[in-house]
Amino acid sequence: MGKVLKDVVCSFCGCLCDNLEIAVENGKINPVSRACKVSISRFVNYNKDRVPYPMIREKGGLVKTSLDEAINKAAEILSRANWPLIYGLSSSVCEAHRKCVELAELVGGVIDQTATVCHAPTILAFQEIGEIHATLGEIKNRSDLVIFWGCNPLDAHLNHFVRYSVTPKGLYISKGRKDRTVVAVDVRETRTTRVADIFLRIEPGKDYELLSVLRALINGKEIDLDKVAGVSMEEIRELAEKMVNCRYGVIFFGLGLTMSRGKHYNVMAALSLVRDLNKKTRFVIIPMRGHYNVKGAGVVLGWQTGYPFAVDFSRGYPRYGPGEFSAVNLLANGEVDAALILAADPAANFPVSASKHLARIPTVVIDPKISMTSLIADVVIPSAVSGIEAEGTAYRMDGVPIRLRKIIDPEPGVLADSEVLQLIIDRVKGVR
Amino acid sequence: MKQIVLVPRKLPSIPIEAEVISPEIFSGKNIEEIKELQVWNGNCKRKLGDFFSVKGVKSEDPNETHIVIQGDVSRVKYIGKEMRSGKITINGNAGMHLADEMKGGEIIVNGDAADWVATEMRGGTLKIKGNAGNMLASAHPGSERGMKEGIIIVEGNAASSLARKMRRGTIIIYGDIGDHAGSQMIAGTIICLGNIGRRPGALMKRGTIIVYGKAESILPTFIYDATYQPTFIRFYLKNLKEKLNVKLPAEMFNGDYERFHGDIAEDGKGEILLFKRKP
Ligand code: SF4
Repeated sequence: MGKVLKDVVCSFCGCLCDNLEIAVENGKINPVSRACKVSISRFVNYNKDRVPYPMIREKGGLVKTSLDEAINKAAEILSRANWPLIYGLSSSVCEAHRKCVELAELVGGVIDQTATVCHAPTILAFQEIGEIHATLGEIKNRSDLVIFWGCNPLDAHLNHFVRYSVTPKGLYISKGRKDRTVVAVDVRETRTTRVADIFLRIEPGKDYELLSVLRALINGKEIDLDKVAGVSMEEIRELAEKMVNCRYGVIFFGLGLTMSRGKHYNVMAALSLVRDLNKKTRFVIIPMRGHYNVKGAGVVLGWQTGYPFAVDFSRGYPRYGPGEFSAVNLLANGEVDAALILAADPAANFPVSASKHLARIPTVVIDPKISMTSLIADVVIPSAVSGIEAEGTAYRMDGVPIRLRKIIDPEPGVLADSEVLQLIIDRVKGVR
Repeated sequence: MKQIVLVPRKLPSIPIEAEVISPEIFSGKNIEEIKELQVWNGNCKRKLGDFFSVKGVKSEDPNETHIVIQGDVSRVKYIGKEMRSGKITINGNAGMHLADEMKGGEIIVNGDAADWVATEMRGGTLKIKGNAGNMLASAHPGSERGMKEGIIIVEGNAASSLARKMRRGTIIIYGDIGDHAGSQMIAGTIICLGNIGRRPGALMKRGTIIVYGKAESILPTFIYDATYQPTFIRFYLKNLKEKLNVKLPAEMFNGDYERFHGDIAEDGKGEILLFKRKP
């Protein structure tokens, strides 16, 4: 076995596990320990399906070109556009996000990130109600009541249970799993609900009702009903009591809450509940973020423009328009006339009307790997895989910034996302 | 009133931002000056005359200025922003941010209206003959208060998040309303003559929502009080009928209403009045 690297960060999901052991030999990467199965496949296959060289569209097909030509073409598309869109970000590092903001301002376009299709309701609700927050380290060391609401970490964030939330022993949780009560709230049985101590199976789209009743109960109000959201009042009262009587509670929530009917109202109800619980005990709430740096995209946009997503620079200053400047709507309504996609695949994930428009307008894709979007693009520029071939900063789902390392060299001539973006910026400015 | 008529040419698919279409800005300007007014199309500054033909009579007084738009302006944003007086008639569909922070005067849309219309309206009258989009009469993102004063009448349906954080004023929807109407409402009145979607009045503090049709669901944090004939309704509806010419079903005036108060997750001083049909 070749060189074994310790404390490598996995840049795949929002857990950003930073304790992996990785062996590197002859350009091959093999995780040795602590990587979950998703992570193992990411490391082992990092070199599969790569964009082989810079490409531009000519006579309907993508053809090989030089990096210089590709950058020229990208700069031309973006500076000619009347209202370009820059989208993606969440699977790249903060250094690249900064460049995206700079570029958006320079070309008078819109910048939006993938939160727009997952946790945008969470962000809107944070802005309304506020967020009572903790790091995952605090959860590990203190939390004796852990609630998973509309999320399934055992299938989506595989190391979450063992590293942060359920099984680890902590400062005040000396017996680990035995010292914690685990509650799952979901519309269906999942691997997570099966290992929970309490599982509340709720009717689809009724999260809001259950949350607001819990809130009324913990505030001492009486509710004269037998059932809410398909759950008996008895069970709800029991949960309310557990919440009030715990020492340190946490709600982790996922797309089951943010993307079901009610969207940001659901999250507002959850945040309000947690806020009120803090009159009686300590309680925090953390969204389960998917892509490894989707949190960082919101942080960088927030810090640079004042707004976390859906920001428009067409009038020279940042304006916030959730819905109005959201990538899906702009594309589906055919409002933007060019796009730059960084490390995302909207052509595969967006509604058909949106991907159709994306195929119609000139599109630049910067991505290490071939994606559906790269196949319909007019310029495709390969980049290094952040966290494997390039370093950079990413934010874990709880907002802790973690430095990603470079563990292997990229192919000669392949640049990091931020370097590619810098070249485009220079070209747009006419500098070189 | 003196009319200025705007006829849209073939409009681009990139939206136009035209807050200059407002009686205060048009008054005192002749047709040539109006054509020169600056609008935005994406990141380009353009002239109003690039997108509209302009005809009509110059008016010196905004109160006497009537802007008529002949055609579809569903991709033109910010028409009537902060207007205080005069009148705008749109014979077609209207775009986002129509009547944004409108303070007075009158806007009539003979068509549908997009999302985010009459945001934080402060006065005046807005009539929409077709359907209204999401967030009608709501607050800007992050803002404390939505509609603060004025009257809105929609003859079609209104989509979701109507009147979010409404503080004062009257909204009458002839058709159906989507989910979360009057959420976080602080005061004011919403009258729904059709059916209303889920969770009306979620997190409301005060205010009144009157529903003539059916409610898809009432939150468990709204408490049933009584079925009665509220005296104020008779006077209130009579006023609306006489002063604003609102068409109301006769049985609404003396009918029975079920009263719920809530949202008890908040202050709980708001009310929902559900019209009770005779069996
Ligand atoms: S849980 Fe997420 S961050 Fe941790 S190893 Fe697995 S994929 Fe990587």
